[in-house]
Amino acid sequence: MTQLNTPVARVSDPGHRPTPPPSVPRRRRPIRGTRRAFWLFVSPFFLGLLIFSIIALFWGFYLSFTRAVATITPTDFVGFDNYVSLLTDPSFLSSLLSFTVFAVLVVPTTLIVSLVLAMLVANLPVARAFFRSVFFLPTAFSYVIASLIWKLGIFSGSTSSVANSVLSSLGLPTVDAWLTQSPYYWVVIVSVRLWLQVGFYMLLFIAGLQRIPETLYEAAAIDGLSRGPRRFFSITWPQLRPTTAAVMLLLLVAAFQAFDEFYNLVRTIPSVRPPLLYIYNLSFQQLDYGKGSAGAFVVTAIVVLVALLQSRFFGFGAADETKAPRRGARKGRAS
Amino acid sequence: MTSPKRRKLAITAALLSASALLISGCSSGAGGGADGPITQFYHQYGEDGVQDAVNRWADDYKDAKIDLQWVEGDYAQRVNALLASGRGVDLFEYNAINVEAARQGQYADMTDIVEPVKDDILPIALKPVTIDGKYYGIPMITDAQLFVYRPSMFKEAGVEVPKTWDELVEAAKKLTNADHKGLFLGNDGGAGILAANLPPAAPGGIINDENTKVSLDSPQLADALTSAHDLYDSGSLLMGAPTDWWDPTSFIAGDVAISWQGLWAIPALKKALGDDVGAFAVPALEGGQPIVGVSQWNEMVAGKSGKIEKAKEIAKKQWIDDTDWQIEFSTKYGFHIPPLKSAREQAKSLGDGIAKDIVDLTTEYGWTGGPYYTPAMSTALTDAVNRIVVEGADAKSELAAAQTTMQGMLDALQ
Repeated sequence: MTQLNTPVARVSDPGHRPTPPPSVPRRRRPIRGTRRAFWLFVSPFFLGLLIFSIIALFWGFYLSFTRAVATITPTDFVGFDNYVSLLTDPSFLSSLLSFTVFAVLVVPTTLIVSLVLAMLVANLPVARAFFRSVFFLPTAFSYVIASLIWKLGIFSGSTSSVANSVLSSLGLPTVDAWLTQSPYYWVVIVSVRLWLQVGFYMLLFIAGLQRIPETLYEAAAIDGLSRGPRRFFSITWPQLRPTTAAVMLLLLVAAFQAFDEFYNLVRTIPSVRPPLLYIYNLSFQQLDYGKGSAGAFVVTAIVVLVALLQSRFFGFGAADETKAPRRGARKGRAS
Repeated sequence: MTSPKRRKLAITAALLSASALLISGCSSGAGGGADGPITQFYHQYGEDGVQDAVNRWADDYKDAKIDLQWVEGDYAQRVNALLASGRGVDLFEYNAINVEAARQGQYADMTDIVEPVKDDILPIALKPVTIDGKYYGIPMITDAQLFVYRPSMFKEAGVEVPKTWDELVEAAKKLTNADHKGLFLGNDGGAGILAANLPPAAPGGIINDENTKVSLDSPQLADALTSAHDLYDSGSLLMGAPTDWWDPTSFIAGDVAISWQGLWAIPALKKALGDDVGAFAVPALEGGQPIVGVSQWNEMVAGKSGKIEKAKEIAKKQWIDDTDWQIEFSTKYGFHIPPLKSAREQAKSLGDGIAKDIVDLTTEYGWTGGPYYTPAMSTALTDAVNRIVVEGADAKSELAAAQTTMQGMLDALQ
């Protein structure tokens, strides 16, 4: 422990500059001092962050109060007109409804499927790493390519598509309007996102499961609770509460940022247009950067509000995380 | 000896300068300034040979050095960003002219070089480049979109080429059997195609010639869109094809008897089907006019370029004076209509068969919304048509709501 409390020796101390041996010719002045090295390495990133994120953010905020059509240096200040126009536009309100439906469908589905997968994988006696990788692999897949596979191969609407072949084999009528009619397009959109992101949330749940102290299960076993749903709902589920809250928040934010699959699958269908697609059309098709920026800030405000509400009701980030010693937790164990 | 404080300041300044140089280097190429080569932009054409051809033309042009940029990805976004910033581009092709951008001076006025030849240009081709009575571009290539059909399937089903919208709906139903569907209007069920092409065939069109009034209130249009919903539900439409309407694969494979199609597909159709392919315009709704949808690329000059006159000289040479180049560009790689009469009349591949029929139909019935029919208006109308055709919403109320929304947008442009 003494060793841990000792300050780590500096690689290069500004207060102590070793003199190079006289026989070695001095070709280039070495960079000395951790502070200088820090700024040397950090400044390109920081400058990029400043220009492309921070200035862009403030610039966007300024644009949202101006009439900025086809220009990013407007002079016509319009106050809250862009915000009022946006919040009274039925198309924007409809896009918020689309998002709500999408979130209601995709958040619980992904949460349940990823939790079930995590528990199955965590309990595997063999090949755990293999299955973890198999389920995680789609996370690395492009949303655009996955959307095209869903559109052209699985839900193409032709009788030979995967979905219609399955329906035919079950004796059910085939569907040719997978991408144009509700509720079919929700099946396509939710399933592609589920496939793409379930592996990532499965990993989060596996990590959560591994943090549950083994002693809790041992104590429960002594009290006669060794398996079954009761053990899950009495121990695993409450212990996973911080992970579940984090997963829900991440899923909601990701749902709000949904764009790629909607753009590639159903961009012409007004009843399923999410907020980001609406804002994209405003900004980059109609060149209305002012209203588009206002839309971006409205969506951001909603995301922040949702995060705060969720934090209040579900306790994400609250101080009720398990205080059990982590080093004691062994490999994941779930009912 | 330099003090540590001064040295620190010098290093910080050097780092900031290096980063700024890096960033400015990323943001644009040359172009925009008064010196150096003319930067000319093209979007990525799908046909083989186009890139080599435009490079060759640029190399052969001796009066100025042309720095040619072949842009992959979202072309309009890139060009819009450069036009707004005023640097990086001098000469560019474009198909999304914006009224506000023109009024802000982002495009150079090209009236002086277009006016002398305007009578030689396809009548509809000037509409997309005309704002406030000025011409902001030279039409480069015109593409026509209309219905193509299989005469053999028509003969087999005893169907004549439709002259009215109702006849087209009936034909689609009659032509549907176990082997093929009657009509292909796109995998979205036709809302996009119908929104763009049915209202112009109704009395009043979408926007009047003065660009001041939106007209979507004709009962003929409401009735036609209501019948389009019946058509959608009838099972006569091809939907869920592996590729969308712009690819002729499904039509060539015999999956459908009538398809919405573009001029670019004609060589493939002729090669695969020989004479078993014909074309017809969107039938007029009662009191309206038949139409052929027209889209177009135009050559334009950046309004904030430091080399406007030089860029205009190149544009004139390439897209007005060089007839051989216009014929080559339109017909050798892809298949387009040269907007200039001189080139159109000399283009042999447009001189007979279905290609000639389409050129004649386009000359007579060509229609395009023009810059005042903005993407926002198009989205409002397409959304309304989608709700009518796909969801079965009431046509009159949807069209009335779309008209109010679009009129507000049009008024904002006055």
